[in-house]
Amino acid sequence: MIEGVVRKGEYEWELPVGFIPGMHVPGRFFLSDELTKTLEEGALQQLAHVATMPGIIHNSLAMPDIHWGYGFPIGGVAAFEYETGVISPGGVGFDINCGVRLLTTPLKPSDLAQKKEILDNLFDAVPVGVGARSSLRLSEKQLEKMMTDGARFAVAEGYGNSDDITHCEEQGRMKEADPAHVSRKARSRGVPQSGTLGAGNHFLEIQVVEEIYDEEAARTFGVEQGQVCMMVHCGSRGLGHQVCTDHLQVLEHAVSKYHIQLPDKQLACAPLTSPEGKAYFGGMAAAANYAWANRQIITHQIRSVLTRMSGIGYDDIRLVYDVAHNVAKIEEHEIDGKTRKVCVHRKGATRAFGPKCPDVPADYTHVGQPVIIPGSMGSSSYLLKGTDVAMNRTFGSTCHGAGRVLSRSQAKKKIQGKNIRETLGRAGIMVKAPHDGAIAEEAPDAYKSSSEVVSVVHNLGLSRLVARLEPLGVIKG
Amino acid sequence: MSFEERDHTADILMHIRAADTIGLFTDAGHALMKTMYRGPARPIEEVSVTITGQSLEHLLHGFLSELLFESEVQNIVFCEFEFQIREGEVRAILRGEPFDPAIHGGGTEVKGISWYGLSIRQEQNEYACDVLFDV
Repeated sequence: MIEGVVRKGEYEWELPVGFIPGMHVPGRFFLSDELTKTLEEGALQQLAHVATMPGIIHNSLAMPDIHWGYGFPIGGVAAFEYETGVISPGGVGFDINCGVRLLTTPLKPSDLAQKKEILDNLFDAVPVGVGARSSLRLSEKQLEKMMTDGARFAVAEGYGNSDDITHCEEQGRMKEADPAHVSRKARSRGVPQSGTLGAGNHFLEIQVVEEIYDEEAARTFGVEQGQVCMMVHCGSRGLGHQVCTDHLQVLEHAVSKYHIQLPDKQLACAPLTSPEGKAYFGGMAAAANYAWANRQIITHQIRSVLTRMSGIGYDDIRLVYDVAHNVAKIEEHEIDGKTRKVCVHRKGATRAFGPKCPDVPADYTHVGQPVIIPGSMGSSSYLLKGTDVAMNRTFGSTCHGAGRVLSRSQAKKKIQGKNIRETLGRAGIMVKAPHDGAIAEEAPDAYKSSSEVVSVVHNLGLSRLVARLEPLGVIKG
Repeated sequence: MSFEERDHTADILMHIRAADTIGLFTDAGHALMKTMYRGPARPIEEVSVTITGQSLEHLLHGFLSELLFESEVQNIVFCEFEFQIREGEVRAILRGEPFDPAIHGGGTEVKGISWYGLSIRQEQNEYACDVLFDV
């Protein structure tokens, strides 16, 4: 382990105050011995940098999928006092509200005799890859509604049903959204991309529930062994990327205006109560709503294809839940015996609220919030549930995925996309992508084991395993 | 063109060297386009942009952010750049052709231009910098 890091338990490590100058609180991260082999020193430096930010509460935290990111490490979680703390795009990332949703179907793998045709039709219905354009023609007014109303906008336009809304984090809409803080440039990127998947690690998968670990929770979430599911992983597209770029410029000036000392320019931030901080939060929330609407439109495209090709009903395809894993939220948490209003940044981390939290859907409240952890291409994805442990220790947060271990160029050098396609094909997993290079970049070997990451949060109780899903067909952007 | 990709686990790190600042901006532009798109492009459409900034690094960051924006919104793969660089301002003419998935598809989506390690260094007879594309 890197010098200066203190082991605090089987899966817990601490960066003490003083690891770098200016830390207000310790850094704390969660890793198994196996995962320490892939830990980057740069990611730990970033974890320490976050601990120097004004108003941070208790710890700068990182989940077991920690790796080097922009500003915060990926896997980073930090809560800031509302009155004295800051908000930073570096704690959210360029892809605001990148997230995942899980849909169940009444189908079994044996019903997928036409799997290739279904995959081809999904590939045609959901635009993927760089340069892909939506077939929807959003008006300015519709875009405004998309940013204000999120998933509700999409459902009101006919892309879903009311149950979808209740099964989204925040009910698919951050009420603080303020499109006035979304620039013309960001809007012009958002218009042609509604209902598109994007590229990189974003995917659409046909999966099967391979194993159930918690029967009661699975039953509550409507998930059963052998069931075919669909998983969607994408975010706010160019609109969200531009909101981040635009506000970083403003916040760079805010740092000197408010005399904030930072060890890294990527952590540009402003007080939560300042005009600059409020403007970023309003714009970020609008982009988050765009992302929820985007995943909702893709859900409609999936339902349309499956209804047409497999004979099941539109409403037979049910949304289990939709989680954001790149976002900042104003939440109330019990801290030192008092309820306090804080801003929780989750950068490559998932909300994992426990049972009886008011923000968990009424039909899930006795179990806790569903937590969806996507695997890398060809590997397992997981459904977990939120816990009281997470509420007490990590501001109701857990991991978000596997985390890279190979750079994209290393992956392309080591791995041929065609070979991966053939290997996965032999395992019964069909892959469809615009280009073989996209497959090589996102090859399973380029990522940490999602199973190892998930086992750490399960063993710590930061969330608990409910089910494991395995891919049957993958569409990569 | 003088740029090379260096290892970075999460994102794409480009090392760029050129004899002067115009060469540096040109190669940084090509590095971004080669990351986003495959295949050759022809200079048949033209877009002009102006960027202001307090330092050469701000100008480079601003130029690349603008190039990313124009490419995505206009749906053009740019292949030629012409610059006028003076203190606090860059004027650029970008030339390229409309994106064709059959020719240019299969690249990597760039979400933004990172400030990580972005410093322009004068080394002997050349300029050098590292630019990180957030992907």
